[in-house]
Amino acid sequence: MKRSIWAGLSGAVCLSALALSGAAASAAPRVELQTDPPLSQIEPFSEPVIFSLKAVADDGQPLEDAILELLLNTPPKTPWLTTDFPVVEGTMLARLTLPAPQGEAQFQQVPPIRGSYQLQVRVSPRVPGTFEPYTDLLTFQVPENPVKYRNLAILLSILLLAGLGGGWVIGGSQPPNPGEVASRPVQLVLSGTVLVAIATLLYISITAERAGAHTEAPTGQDNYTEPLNAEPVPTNITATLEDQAIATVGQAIPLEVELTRAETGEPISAAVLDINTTSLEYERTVFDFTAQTDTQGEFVWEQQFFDGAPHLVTVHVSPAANSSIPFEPFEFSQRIDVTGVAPPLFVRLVSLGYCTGVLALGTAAGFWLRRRSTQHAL
Amino acid sequence: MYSSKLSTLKRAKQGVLSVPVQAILFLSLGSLSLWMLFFSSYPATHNTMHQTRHHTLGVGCH
Repeated sequence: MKRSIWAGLSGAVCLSALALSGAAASAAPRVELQTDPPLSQIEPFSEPVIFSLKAVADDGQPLEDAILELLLNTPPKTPWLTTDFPVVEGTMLARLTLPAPQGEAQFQQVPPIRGSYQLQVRVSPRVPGTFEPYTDLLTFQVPENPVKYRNLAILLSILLLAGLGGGWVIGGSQPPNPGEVASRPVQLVLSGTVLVAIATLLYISITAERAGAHTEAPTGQDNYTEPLNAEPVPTNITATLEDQAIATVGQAIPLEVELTRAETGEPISAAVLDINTTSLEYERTVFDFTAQTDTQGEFVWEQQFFDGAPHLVTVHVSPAANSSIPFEPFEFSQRIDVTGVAPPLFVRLVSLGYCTGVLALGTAAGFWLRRRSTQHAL
Repeated sequence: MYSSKLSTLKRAKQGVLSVPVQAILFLSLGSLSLWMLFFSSYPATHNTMHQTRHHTLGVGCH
């Protein structure tokens, strides 16, 4: 009886503690994250994902007139089962400041790799003193592309079968003919493997040559290009977009947009900037967000170009509703060439080790099966 | 002198014909082909195998 009373009491205490902790958790100001598509349906290095952020106060209401400072980091390094962008693992993907007049902000980003991303959001009021600034750390998991598992299974099956065949022949151990170094079957296996290596080299060389022949000559507009449908920059406005470092895979670089009046040099503040980064290789958006220029007519952000291919950063500028300098919306863009970085040698050797291990496993199995069948025949 | 050379040649021949050496030769050739296809940073190889590398688990591309 006593035991049941104690059990009942302890259960009630636990429930109360849970309720209290839940109430405490919901009372703290926080940032809510939603994605489109949902997190479980995201595929890395595919379509851009819309990240919607909402800064929420203690009472659950959105914080109005807020500024969100975002820092997006990629998942930690996984040297024992690398992603397709090992250099990008454990690095900064983007750092930017977004206005949130209604407490909400959005950006689009292609997550380059699988794993657990960290998004640090610092929420502060546009007008100091309106509310206490706070920081929330959000994590989200991006699953691996299922096609990769299928392709790995195919590759390992091929290696296992090739190993089985090789091991089967080597396990035959017939004596060589007079004047020959190896027995005929062993000669055939080694010659066959050499032929595979030659065929691989031929395929690569021919494909590379054909691809090279189809490459178009550079247009001479590598540093500045305008999209065909661009709204031209008005003559009374100077608009610049500067990349302040050489874009390299694995490193976020600072970029800056500056808007001034051409005649007076007066900064154009609070202009609305729709900034879009497109991969020219895949012709798809990899990063997109809306921001505003500051009182100096500038907007600075950092972003990583995670694919070693040319990108086009396009800035669509429109005046804010309360802009003191009226102007027609316009658009300008800049091509950014990105330096690719080869995966670390250690990471490549680890993966090669796995593949060679499976080939060796198949060889050992083939060898053992052949020897066993020979012994049974005797 | 001649017989010692002959015996060295015989030992070398036996070594090459031994099962471990045959297996190592086979695995080395296979491994070399794998390296060329999936892990070499040689531009021609990389560009040709780009999509395949991106779509195979455990293979780094950039």
